[in-house]
Amino acid sequence: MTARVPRRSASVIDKLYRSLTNVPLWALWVFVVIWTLPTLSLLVNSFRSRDNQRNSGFWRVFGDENPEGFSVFDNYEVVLSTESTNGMLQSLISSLAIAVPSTIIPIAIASFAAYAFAWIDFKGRKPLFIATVALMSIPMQVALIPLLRTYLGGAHLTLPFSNRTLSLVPDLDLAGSTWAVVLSHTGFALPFAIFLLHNYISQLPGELMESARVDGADHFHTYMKLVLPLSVPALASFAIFQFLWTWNDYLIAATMLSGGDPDVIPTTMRIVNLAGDFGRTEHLLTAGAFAQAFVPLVVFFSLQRYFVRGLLAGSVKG
Amino acid sequence: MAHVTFDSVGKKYDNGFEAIVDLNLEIEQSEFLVMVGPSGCGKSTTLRMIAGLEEITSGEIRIGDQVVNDLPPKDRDIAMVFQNYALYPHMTVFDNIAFALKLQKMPKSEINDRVRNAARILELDELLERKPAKLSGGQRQRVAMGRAIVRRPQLFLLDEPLSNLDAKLRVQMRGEITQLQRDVAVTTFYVTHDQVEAMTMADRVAVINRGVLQQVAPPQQLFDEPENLFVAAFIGSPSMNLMEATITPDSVGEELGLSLGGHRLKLSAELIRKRPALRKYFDRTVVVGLRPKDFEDASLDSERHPSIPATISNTEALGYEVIAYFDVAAKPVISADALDLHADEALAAPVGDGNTTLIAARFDPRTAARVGDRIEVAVNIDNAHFFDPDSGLAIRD
Amino acid sequence: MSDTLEHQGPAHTRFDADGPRRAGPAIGYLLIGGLVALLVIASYRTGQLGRLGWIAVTIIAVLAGSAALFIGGNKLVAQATVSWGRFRGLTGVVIGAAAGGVLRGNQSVRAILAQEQDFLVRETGTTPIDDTGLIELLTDFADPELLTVGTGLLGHAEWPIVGGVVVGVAAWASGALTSRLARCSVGVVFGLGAALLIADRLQFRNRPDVSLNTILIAAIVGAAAGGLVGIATRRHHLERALLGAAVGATAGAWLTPEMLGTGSARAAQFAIAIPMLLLALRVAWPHARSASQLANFTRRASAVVFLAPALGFLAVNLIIPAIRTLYTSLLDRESEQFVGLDNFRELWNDPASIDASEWTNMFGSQLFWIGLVLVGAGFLVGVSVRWIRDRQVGFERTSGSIGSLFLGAFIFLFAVFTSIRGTFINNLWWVVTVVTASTVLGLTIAVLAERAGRLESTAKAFIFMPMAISMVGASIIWRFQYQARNVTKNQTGVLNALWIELGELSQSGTARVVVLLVLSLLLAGSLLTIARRARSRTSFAGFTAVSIALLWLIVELYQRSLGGFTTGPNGEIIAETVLFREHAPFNNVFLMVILIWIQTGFAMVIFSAAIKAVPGELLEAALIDGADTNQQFFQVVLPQIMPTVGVVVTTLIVTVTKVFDIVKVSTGGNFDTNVLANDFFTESFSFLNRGVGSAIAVLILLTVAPVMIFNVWQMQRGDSS
Repeated sequence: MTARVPRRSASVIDKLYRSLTNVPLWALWVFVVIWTLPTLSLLVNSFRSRDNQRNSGFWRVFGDENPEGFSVFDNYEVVLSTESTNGMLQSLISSLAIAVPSTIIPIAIASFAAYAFAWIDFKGRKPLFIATVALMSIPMQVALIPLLRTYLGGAHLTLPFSNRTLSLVPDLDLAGSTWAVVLSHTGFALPFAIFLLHNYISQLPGELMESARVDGADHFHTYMKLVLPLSVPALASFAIFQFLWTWNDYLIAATMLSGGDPDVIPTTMRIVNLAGDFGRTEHLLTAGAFAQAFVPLVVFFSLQRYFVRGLLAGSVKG
Repeated sequence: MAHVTFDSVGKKYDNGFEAIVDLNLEIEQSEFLVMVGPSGCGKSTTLRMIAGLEEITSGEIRIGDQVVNDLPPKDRDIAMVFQNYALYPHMTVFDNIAFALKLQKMPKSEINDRVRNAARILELDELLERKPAKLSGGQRQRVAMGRAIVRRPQLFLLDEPLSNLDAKLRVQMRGEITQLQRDVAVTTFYVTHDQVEAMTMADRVAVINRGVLQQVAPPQQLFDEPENLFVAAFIGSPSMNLMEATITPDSVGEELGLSLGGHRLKLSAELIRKRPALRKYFDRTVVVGLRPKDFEDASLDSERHPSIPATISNTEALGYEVIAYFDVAAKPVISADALDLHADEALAAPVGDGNTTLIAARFDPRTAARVGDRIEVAVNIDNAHFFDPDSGLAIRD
Repeated sequence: MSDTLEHQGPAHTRFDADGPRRAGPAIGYLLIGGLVALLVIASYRTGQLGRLGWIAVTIIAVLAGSAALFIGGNKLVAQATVSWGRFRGLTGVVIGAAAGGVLRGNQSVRAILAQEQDFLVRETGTTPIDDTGLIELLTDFADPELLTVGTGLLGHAEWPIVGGVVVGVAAWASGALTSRLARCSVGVVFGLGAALLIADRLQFRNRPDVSLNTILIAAIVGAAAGGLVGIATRRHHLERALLGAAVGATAGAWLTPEMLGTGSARAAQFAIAIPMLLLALRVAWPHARSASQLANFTRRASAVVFLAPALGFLAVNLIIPAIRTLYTSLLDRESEQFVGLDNFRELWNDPASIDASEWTNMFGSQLFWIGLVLVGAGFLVGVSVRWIRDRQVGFERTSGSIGSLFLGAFIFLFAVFTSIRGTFINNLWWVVTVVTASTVLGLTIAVLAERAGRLESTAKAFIFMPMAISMVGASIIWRFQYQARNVTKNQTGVLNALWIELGELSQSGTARVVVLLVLSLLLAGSLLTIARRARSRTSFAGFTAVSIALLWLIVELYQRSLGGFTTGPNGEIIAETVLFREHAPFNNVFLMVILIWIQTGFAMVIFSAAIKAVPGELLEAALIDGADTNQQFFQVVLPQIMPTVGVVVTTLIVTVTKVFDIVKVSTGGNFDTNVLANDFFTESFSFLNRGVGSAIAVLILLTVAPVMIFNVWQMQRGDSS
């Protein structure tokens, strides 16, 4: 950011000269081009026939020769069909089946916790909050395998020095089901959700809470009637963030759903499978990858404001 | 030390709004000029144009003999104190003050000397290693001043530097700034909305409203001889009482009198001699302005001024004087400019309804007048100011 | 204020400019709506509509359930102020029902009233088998345990109901009665009754073989411990002693016997009754609360209700599994035997993890020496500037010295990482490269975008877009960029195509000469600028770097020509592609490019907001003080956004350490590109070595731990100020 010396409105020639020698501006657009080119090339290639994709780069798209009956949507037709080997439609639904619950459930749980940390004063609040938020950095790998085992057969604790075994979590037969993924995502998202929502909720004016208190509201009513409606922007930010994150996740899905019912796997896993299949179906990979990216891109472009706010929460210290 | 000239300077924004209209002003060498006016009048814009932070759309600004319209700020040899001080929060007081000198690549020893000198003058010696966050408002203000004086510029610009301080500190700093300016003798352009600051600190005051310069004069002259309604109402607190009256000859046709709300006050020959143009307003309505100090409880008036009867509606006892309010059956004058003041300051003359003016008068504190009393109020009519009701200009000659 | 999330941040994030974007939110909702419609249609076509429906139903059920829990919990807490007895009663019902449910669920007790169903349990296992034929068969041969549990709805509900009623009434009574004697009597009566019922219905195999004395001694020990705690905290001595006694009795009764199932009925009665009694006394003992105690209590209880689900989830989902992983890392591959730090040792000694055998290669690499020279130059510049300016020895931080130091260190590290190889080193390399590159690029683009005026948000949106794409998708995208085909055919990957073109270009005479000429002109111009700036005493560090780069290019071009080709045996020119993914060790760098491509947008957005948060007045003051654009940035803006730089760097470190998808999809960890997270996956799922897998997970945690600690420290500091 600069404070610029103001200049008089200049003539056209002046403006032209200035824009030509304005290196920073050039550099910016060079960056933009470099950043957009890869995605663009994927998009362009996804409309080309298999032979064209194999024989020339995407920049030769206008010189393509196509056989009769060829339509630019051919690849997409295959990819978005229910054909079992190459069709991804099933997995798109699966991705949705994972992403939507994984977004909604953490919101419900975390917003209560965030409110409690922000506006209910109890002993040990600060250390507990710091501990909870510190969990944000824990790598998922550390919890993944035991989680998988819990979903597979329940969690049983053998008490040391005695032969007793306690069943902490019964065997719910969740392995290979969407719920295993959803519950895992929820758990991993909670620290960040609590952090984000707490950041917002704690900055609501204290007088609001106090006047509600004077009017006789207890914490629950304050939360439901005051805080929740006012936190909608923060909830929206988190929702977008979490939706994108879970739609794009590969690790947890692969951990919980590998080797299970192929109808249940989300798009990321589908793409990885497609990607391992060299040669015959590589041309479908472009369309498939773009189909996978389409939903998050739409969500991103239409709601970027909230996404950005989610990122900025707590990151910018004034 | 520089002499600053505004030559038909104008500032117009892209949407057509004119912030400054045809400003012609000279700031003499080593002069302390205060530009004063209500919010949005264009005073900050003027200051920023001198600084080079705002573009000048028409006219020229000259510092010394040099036209500075297109000169970048750092080449204008100016220093500025911002309203919010604009101290660099990550630097110590020492570094803040030394920043500009470091940019000029001055030798370290000289920087050291200058900074310590400035610190001594401003009593910042013990604070040099602190960061701005750990300073009080007054201390921060002094650091901002230090940053300015250490550069020994040819022109100081101060943008409402006292507005963020509490009342007592403000009074103290007023004196300190004035003293400092006298010691350093640098041409100073000071902007404020507080007329008390303007009156107490300035060599000359420039009153500006809606981008148009109203009057430039030393403070006393501004007080005694306001050139138009705006200046008259703006300077002085409580403000001048402005109302409509008619100039009438007496039954004989010789002496002039002022018909004010049913009372007739004789205008002395001396007054008419001072303001010969009054003759042109025979039988016509004029705006008459009477300052609160020109009224007195008639029973305590030693100079036997003419008096009018009045019922006291409110009093405010200040200890050294009593401000008494009473109604006069004269139409109050609220010019558009005065309305601006109402909106902005709530300092202007309290306004009555359509045909009565609520007058604020200053009485001797020994007065026995209480709310509801009907007393005689002496009017020092010879100190009255007269304004043309249409143009708002003072009636003189 | 309604839209801000940060305390002192900008009043609005100017990420979308006004004007064309003013229709933003409406279009956004339209698009989302369209998307939802599409998906519904898609699921209809695939016959998955039922599934979608189920998802919707389950979500609503979960939300309704949790809402019910919350509302219920809060209403319960609210009762505390209204009627203490009722509150205790209701809480008692909940606790009693839960206890009953656990007893029944664990099949520890037989049915009370319901019809009983026989299950067969083998000695070693606990999984019941339900097969009457098998029962008859086995009863003849083995020594099975017959266990009975209630069937049907009653079978499931009877114990929770009994538990709820008994505990609820007892709790209510003990809350509503004022006399301590009355309360304790009620507690004793109910406690004893419940205990005898449980003891009577206890499954035979659960009976402990314990004597009354053991229980009593254990109870006394527990009481002593509780009492000590009470004395130490100076409060609630008796209550703590009672609680201690109850716990001690439970432990003595249930943990001391070698195994369960051999005790007598009498022993079972003692084992249950004594702890029960002590617990009942403990609960019945305290007075009803005073008003202030009540207020405190309600507040804390509210906090518990609000926090319990989240914290419970976290414990089950994160903390307990993490602890288990820590434990498994000390066990062998099947998690049966304790092996101590063997897994870690195995990792350390594996050459795939760290391979320092060829570390002397460092000295032969160009990067090493360039890096060293730059670092040395940086030091020299810093010291000499100080000397020239002040005749003092020391280090002056100028743009030349700092820039050179950082660049030199960066290049030097590259040299190190290419000579010492291995999974660990790869991770380090990833962190150093991606964090530095993303931060620097993000900052640069943020600053550049500031000057772009109205097109600022459009430009930033494009840079930020890769963040919306999954890492898997990004890897696929870049796989196509990196593609290398046989040189006889067209190149399909943009980079190799350019590389080959460049090779062909530099073979031709005219093009090469032209390029050399242009470069020389640029070099001349750059050198002139240096001279001019040196005279006017402004910084010329940037131009020095540019000159050096130009010089290198000219020399390279002149000597060899750039581009993708080699000389064949007969001196002919053969085109040659770059195998971006396979060619170690720099293939790692090309993979890192993918993550940089994604994360730069993140850094840029955050820096952009931080830069805008710097008050404009400060920059005006700097302008008046004589700072030009560069000085304004480096001396005023940058120091102010240092905290943000810290946040970005720490977040990136955590993200990059966990990199998995990119490596898995691009190379599978082959070609010397393996990283810890990928190793974790392979060990756990391909090699099924739980011990080593867990050890790797622990290592990842350790790598991230410093950042965690740093964050915690920052948060503590931030809160207290």
